[in-house]
Amino acid sequence: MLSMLGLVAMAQDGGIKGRVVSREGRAAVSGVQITLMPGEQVATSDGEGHFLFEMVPGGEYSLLFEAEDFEPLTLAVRVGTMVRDLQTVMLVPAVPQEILDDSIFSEFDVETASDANSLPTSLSASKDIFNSIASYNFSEMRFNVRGYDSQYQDIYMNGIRLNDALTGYSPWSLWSGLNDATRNQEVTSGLVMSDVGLGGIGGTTNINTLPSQMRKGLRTSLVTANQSYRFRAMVTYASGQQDNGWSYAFSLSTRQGGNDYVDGVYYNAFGYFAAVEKQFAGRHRLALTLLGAPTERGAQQASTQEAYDLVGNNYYNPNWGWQDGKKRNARVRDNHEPLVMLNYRFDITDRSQLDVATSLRFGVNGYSALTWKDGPDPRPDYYRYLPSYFVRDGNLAQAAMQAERWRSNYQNVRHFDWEGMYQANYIAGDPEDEALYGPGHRANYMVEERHTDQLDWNLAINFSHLFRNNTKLNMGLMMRRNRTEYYSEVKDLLGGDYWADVDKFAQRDFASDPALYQNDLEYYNAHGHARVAREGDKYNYDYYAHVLKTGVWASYQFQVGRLGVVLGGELGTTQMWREGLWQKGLFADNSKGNSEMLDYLNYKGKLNLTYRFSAAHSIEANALIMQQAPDFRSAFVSPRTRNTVTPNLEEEKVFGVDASYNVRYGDFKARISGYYTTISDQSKVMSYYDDVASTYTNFAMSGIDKKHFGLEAAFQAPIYRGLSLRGAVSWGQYTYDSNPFYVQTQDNSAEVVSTGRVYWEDFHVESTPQLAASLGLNFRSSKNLFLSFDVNYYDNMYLSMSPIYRTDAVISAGMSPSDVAFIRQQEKFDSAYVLNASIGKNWSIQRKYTLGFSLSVDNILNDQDIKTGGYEQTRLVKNEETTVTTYQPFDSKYFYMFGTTYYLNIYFRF
Amino acid sequence: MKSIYKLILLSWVVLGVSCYNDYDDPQPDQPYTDADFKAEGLDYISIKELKSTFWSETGAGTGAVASLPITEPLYTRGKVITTDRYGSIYKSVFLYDEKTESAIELKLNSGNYVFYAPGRELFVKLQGLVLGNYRGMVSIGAASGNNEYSNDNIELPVMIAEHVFRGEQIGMSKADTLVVNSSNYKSLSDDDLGRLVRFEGVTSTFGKAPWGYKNNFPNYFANQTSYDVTSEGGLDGVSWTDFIQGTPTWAAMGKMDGAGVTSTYFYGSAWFSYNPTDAGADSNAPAGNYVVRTSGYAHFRDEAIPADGSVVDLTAIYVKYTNSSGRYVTYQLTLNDGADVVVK
Repeated sequence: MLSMLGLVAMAQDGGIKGRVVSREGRAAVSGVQITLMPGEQVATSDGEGHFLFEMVPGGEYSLLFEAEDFEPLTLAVRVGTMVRDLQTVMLVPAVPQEILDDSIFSEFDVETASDANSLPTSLSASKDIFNSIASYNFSEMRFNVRGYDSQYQDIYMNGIRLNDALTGYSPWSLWSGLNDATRNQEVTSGLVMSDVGLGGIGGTTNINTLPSQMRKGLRTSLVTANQSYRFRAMVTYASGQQDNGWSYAFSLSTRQGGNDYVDGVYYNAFGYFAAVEKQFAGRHRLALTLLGAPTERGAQQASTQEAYDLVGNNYYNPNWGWQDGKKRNARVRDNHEPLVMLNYRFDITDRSQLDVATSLRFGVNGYSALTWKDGPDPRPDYYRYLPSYFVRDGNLAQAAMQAERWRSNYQNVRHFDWEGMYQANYIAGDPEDEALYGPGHRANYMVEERHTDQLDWNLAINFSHLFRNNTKLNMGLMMRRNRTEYYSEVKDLLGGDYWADVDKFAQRDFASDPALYQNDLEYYNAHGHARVAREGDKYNYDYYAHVLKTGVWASYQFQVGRLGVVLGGELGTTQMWREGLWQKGLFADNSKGNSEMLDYLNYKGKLNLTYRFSAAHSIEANALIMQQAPDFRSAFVSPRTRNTVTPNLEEEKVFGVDASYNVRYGDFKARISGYYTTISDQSKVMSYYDDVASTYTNFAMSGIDKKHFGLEAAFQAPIYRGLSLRGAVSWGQYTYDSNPFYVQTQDNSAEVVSTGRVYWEDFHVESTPQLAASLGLNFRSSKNLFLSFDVNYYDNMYLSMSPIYRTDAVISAGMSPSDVAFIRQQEKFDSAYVLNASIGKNWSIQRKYTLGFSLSVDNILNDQDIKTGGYEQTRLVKNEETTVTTYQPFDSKYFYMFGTTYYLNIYFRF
Repeated sequence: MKSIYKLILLSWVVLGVSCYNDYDDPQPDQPYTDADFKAEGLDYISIKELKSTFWSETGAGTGAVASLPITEPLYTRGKVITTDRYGSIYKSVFLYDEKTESAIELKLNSGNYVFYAPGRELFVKLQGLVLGNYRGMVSIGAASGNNEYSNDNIELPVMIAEHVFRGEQIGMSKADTLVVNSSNYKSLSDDDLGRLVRFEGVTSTFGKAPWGYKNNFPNYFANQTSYDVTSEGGLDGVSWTDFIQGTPTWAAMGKMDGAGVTSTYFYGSAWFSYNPTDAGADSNAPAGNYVVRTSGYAHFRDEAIPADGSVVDLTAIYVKYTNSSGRYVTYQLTLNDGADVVVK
């Protein structure tokens, strides 16, 4: 049965046999060249992946497995007098050379609806030519594949889906900076199912961190760059599987410093990873993984074009001010959420495999912000401090003066006045405060840190079986329990002694009844005054989000002639509820304790078809129908204050189809795909100060529908001796497909302010270019020199819309049809093109060590006027000059692509 | 290989200790004194002189729009006698000069009690600011772009920092409050406008005052409309008649009939008098009759006005309100806090 190119040998010697499979799909890998060292004997795996060395003298050996499209693997083997059966040897599919660095996480921090789109969805490197170009080249433009948000891309680690339990967002930040440790990725794109789960519409990525499957050896690298951070150092070691069955790996990294464009931002980030694995009794493997990325990072906030123009650049960051001769940023992300994971694998037979995985995510995740009790808004770019405010007011002299102050940065008008805030806190000493709260300075300003601290436990049990007829069954069971504590804490009192924890909006309306404006009514009842919060104390709100999710899934793969079919189905439930830890004065009966339990049914049905005309041509067609629970973040009208559930909350429904044609002639590869997706019944909740109702409100939308369709095409064509041309185009149309229903409630009273429709049907889904194209030349010499040059073109990008501007509530009798059209229109950004280049080279030293570098330079033309995203504000300018009140939207805020950036990576490995 | 480990470890240690968020707190500011301004070559002008210059330069004491930009290098000084902590005073501080016994309004932004608590001496650099008249009251403010206003508030933090300077926290003393009673209230003059005045033994009076306009007390005002006991409609389902005949409050907030869920904030006007019968039918309210006017945002908005006939001691800022020709004068009082009214 075995077809071997083995050895002729002596009877008393031992041997080695095994079966080589791909980790992706556990399909047999034929044609693998297996070299036994010392001795340099070579075998090749057969059509079912089997190989055999016979007549091998006893002793210690290394086996080197090499195959096209797979990472090389080295195993240490001890041979005695018997034929040693290695059972299954798994090869890791090779991913393209250009492993993405998280430097492309240009972080866009906006606490608005558009925050959801802040991460590019496709960070995974992929073998697919389109995905490879899209994820590497288009990420500079915050490109989302097919226009999907990151929650539609399923990210697994070692078989556990780790997308955020509350938002669905991809969880890359948990291991940011640990590029080497998370390098092994199995990727499916679009609607294609994977072995670890069915996925949704945005593909799946399974990151494999099991040390036995990491490339053996030490890798070190140093990076200097000017885009996100200045400096990165990383060291990673993997032992490979040792003869005693143990394997281990660790990685450490740090990223430090700011960038060349935005003031006040920085990285102070570390990463650690450790994993150990033991194979025992031949068929069992147990692995323990621990990783974490303690990260402190100063954030950038978008501002208006007016501010950018006054400052003279599009990267002005209003988040910081001078203190102690240094730039101090008010908005700092500070998180450390370790992930610990246990994986057990049982190769029941050559054809059956059981995987059990469990993980726990814990730790802290904070994001600081400046808070103040009273006095003028301390944010430098507050709309009343910009010249346009005075222009509207008819005060042209003041407008001109203020413009000049901005241009010359007179008295640091562009920045926070930390000094002034300290001084105000120092002098606080109101006798009434002293009588209530005791001695000390009651702070008027402070830096708070808003926390989202997760406890996230996952269990995934997967089973796969390859039947004799080569059909394959994958099935799994998953359970997830998440309890996330949302609270804010006092981070820095800026020279004050304590913070009196009252709700200032409620105090304005209900000043005569102190109980009503307490954030923690029980504390007030016990102490007779508002909670006194000192540094490190919680303040403002404190509640748990609870999510319990369970599900079962299965996929069955079979072949009918040339037609490959995979059928998949999933069924599950999601339960979620809010548990208030504090009793809010305004909602004494509806804030503490558990909310009602929300119960949702999730299901999914998927079909993947592949038809191979020949080795060169194939087509694929895929379809999906699914329903999933809404996110926790949109399930409650005002989760900070009360248990009220969003009206009309429903499961989200997704329907998607796509089809592709693939062609491959030698090194010429091309794919063209078309897709059509509808997403229905999404919900969304926002809170903001409403200028029409003049009160702080919660705005809950339901029935948001979207339609995405388009074409993707990519090719790679060899030209001459390592020179190749490659290109990709993504053309899509992503639009809102309904006018969602909304309910706006007053935050202080829960009373309904208005209801109606958000009129944005046929408007565009924001934040990603709906047309992106790339054309590039690549050169790879036989001497490990790599060069590339790419031109990328983007068009059809749209600003993220504020739903408020598209309601009838902002229309007043005095507004003309053109006023209404003006307030409802959606801004389209200018098209843009960007030139990027990179060069890399590595040297082999003593055939043992590799020293190399790569340098990429992006946006070579240094175009600093390319908008990559932005959002409309929620507020409105009231114009009361005329006899009737009319409203004008506030100016929008924008992010711009950085000018020329570089990224130099020097690495050494063996 | 070990050297690479060492290098990386070393770089970690170096970078790990270089904290990004390690800032020394600034030293507390030293209070400003006259010497600071003299040193800059500024000349002192008292609040009294400032006001008299304004009136002499702009005309008689009417309520007409009038502005006087200050172009000279001058500064003035006064002690803060108001607080906006309780939402009644808004975007203003009143400064009192003990020596000349004169006070003036300084129009600023919100939350002034945080920066300028009562009893704090303030210095104001005047050059570039504008004195303006509002209905007979002079204030220090910024130039307005609207010619219907005499001046604007100084709202820009950068401008406040340029013009307003904290001196010593002296504290309030007895002398800061002018005290009048039923026997000497006629001694109050327009020179005392803007001052903190304690009216001892003054009587809360409900009903119709003898002067001609908005003369049913208490009454409430919002959106250019005044509501009194005779008004149609109501608030939060209670008619104005019932509300005013029940326990009327200093001011009001609520939903007007047919106004949806949006709350309206009403100014409240309450009448206090030493001698209501003296008031006569003249269009100018005679001395001895005062209207306490309270914002709908005042924290004590929902506290009851002392019942009709209650005799109280009341401490408030003394304010004049007249029309552009100087007629229809009423004298209004602005409370810092509801606690400043003590029923005897």
